[in-house]
Amino acid sequence: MVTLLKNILLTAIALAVLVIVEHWLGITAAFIGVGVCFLAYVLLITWRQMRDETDEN
Amino acid sequence: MIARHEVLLSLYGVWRLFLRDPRGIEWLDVSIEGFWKSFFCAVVVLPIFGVWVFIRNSGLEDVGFIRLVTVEGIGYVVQWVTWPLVMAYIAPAIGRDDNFIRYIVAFNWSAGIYVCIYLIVIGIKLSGIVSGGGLALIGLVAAIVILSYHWYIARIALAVSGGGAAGLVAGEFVLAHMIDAVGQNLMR
Repeated sequence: MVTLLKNILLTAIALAVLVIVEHWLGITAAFIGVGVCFLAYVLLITWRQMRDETDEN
Repeated sequence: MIARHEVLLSLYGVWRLFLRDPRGIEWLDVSIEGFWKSFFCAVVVLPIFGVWVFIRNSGLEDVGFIRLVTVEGIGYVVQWVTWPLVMAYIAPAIGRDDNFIRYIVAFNWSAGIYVCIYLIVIGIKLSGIVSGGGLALIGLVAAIVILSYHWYIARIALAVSGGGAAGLVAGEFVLAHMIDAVGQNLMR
């Protein structure tokens, strides 16, 4: 229950940060920011999965 | 998905609470399912919120439509999520874990009542029958009515003392205004 509310809030905050970046630095910087964050997210998930697999072994 | 009669029953329950009838809480669905369904009230009050946003931001000329919708939309979601999340931590801390769902259900559906109060204020403002000072007074009275309503909900639904309920209402009021202030700054 709390986790879902927390995830919604974090998503909304991330969107608000994106709006700020777009306002200050322009749409190109916002797109680059989204790309970098997405890449970081994929790397984080991959790293977590690799860590879990190492623990299981 | 929530049925229409569930929406009407819930709104009737919070209307009874507005009339200071503690049995109003019995009209609300206080199950976990009812907890999530109470967030549907955000959809119910969305048209009135849209009117309020349009009036509030009508003076801003250099703000684009997409920016306005994005910022206000994010603010709206944050407003709906933050207080239940904060209360999820406060309720166990004050020993009211069992009443948490009941309180949030009542709190969420109470938005249906307070937007009606704001709708009346907006109507008076648009009609132009009251001057600036009178309108400010009406706005102040509306705010006091809404805050006392939230105080009553906290007292009945959470079963806390009058002082405790006042503290929660003050916290909710400050939090809501902080979120609103951030949203308004994003518009500039």
